[in-house]
Amino acid sequence: MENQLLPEGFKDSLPETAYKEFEISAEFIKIMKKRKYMLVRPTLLEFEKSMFFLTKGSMEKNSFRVLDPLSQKVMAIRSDITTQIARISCGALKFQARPLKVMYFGDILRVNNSQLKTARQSTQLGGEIIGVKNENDEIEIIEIISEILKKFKINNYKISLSMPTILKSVSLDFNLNKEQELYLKTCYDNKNLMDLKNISTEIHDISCKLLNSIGPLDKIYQFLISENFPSKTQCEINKFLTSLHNFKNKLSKENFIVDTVEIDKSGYHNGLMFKFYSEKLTELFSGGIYEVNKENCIGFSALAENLINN
Amino acid sequence: MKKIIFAVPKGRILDDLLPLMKKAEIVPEKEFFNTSSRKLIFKTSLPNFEIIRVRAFDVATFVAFGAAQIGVAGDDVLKEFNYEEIYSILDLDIGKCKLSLAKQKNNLDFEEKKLGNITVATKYKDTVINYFASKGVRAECIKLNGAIELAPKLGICDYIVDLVSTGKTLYENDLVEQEVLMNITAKLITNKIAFKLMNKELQQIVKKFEVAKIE
Repeated sequence: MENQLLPEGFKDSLPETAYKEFEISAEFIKIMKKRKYMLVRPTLLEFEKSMFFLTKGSMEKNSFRVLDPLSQKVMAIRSDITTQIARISCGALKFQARPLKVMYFGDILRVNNSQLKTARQSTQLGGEIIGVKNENDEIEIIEIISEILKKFKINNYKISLSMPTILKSVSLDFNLNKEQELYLKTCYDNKNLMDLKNISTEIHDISCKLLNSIGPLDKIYQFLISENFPSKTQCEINKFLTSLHNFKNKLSKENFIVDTVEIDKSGYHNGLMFKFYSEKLTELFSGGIYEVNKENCIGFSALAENLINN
Repeated sequence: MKKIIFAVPKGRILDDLLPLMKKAEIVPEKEFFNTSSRKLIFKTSLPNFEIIRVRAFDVATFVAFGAAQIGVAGDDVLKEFNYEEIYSILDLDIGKCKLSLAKQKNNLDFEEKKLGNITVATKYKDTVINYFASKGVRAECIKLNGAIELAPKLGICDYIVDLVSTGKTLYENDLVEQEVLMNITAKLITNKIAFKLMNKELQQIVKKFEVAKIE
């Protein structure tokens, strides 16, 4: 028989991997159920308009499309389940009591996963709290992820905390136009202080403080408290400090590191963002705060393959 | 201190980098200077700091994957791969050159020809496609890994895009520079996740190079 090759980035899960994937999903559901999260199973595809209502352009390029022969409309295959949960929370589950706690798992397809990962089909699992009441929800999410990692025997990891909204606040403080803001974003994304002088010395000096504030939680907390920033940036820093203070006091701070300004690739986070990294420099979990229909939400997700390989 | 691997490019940039490394008190073991050595990883005067010497194009890949936590790469390589996983931390101000479009002496300028598409021999396929796309021109690239200057001479194409340092190679092959796509210097780069997790250690190395640059 002629060899039947699969498209680039797609592979069958053979017995060993398939079992591991199943076990990871099963253990994840068990832990989340114990914490009173409800399971939802969103559709594999939906109309483009609803699929991308939250992401303002960042997801579109990375999603497969098909034409629905019935409606003659273009449909998108999900590349991230979080946005579907957001749609459900303000649709079918709109009248459920808040905070609404949901979990999900399922396959996603990405046109390009990342330059380093060739797989275009992955299993995503995650949880969301819709209608966040206070900063204890941030603690809860971090505790859940830590419990999941412990269950999967991943003990050596670091949790990176950042505040992506600082980029916008710097832009507002210095009245940057769209072109300058994009330039600022590129520089921040590359931790490139050299080119920031092209905008202004003042922006360069403020950015030096922000981009260099990477390190252990305690050290960066003290640093940010001791510095002064322009009004809108200071406001975001203050929100960030509240979260850092909370983590410092309620969780073991050894695992935390702070990278004050990190660019949000998903495009929908409007507050604290966190990422769990393994010793092998792999991202295990990521998540953060966002808003849907004027409701504050916090969520997290992971790709099963990253958990299997660590 | 956790072990750090430093990826350096073979060739032109390395010649400029070695004096800078010496000033930064990062001295590779003797074997590193033995060109016939098959060794791939070298110890240095710093504890837990090792060097790998790889092709210039591979430095970015090693750093992006986190196999090396820090490295040195030219803007040409960084632009071509455009890895999201890399921070370009410090301009080392070495390895200066240009990425240029060149044509045969007797050929018309690309602009004069008013072409909607252009065929270019280059090893910088993505950079060239993006550059001409921004001018509304479709670039068809013929991927060559060396002796690119031969391509117009032997009739493969009319234009090339390649690194130009002194312009001597162009001149000797009857080519003239037409446009500069970008000016290039070598940058100190780090893996993004490593920069978070090993910030203290990597900042120490960055500081050494900052000081060495000023000396």
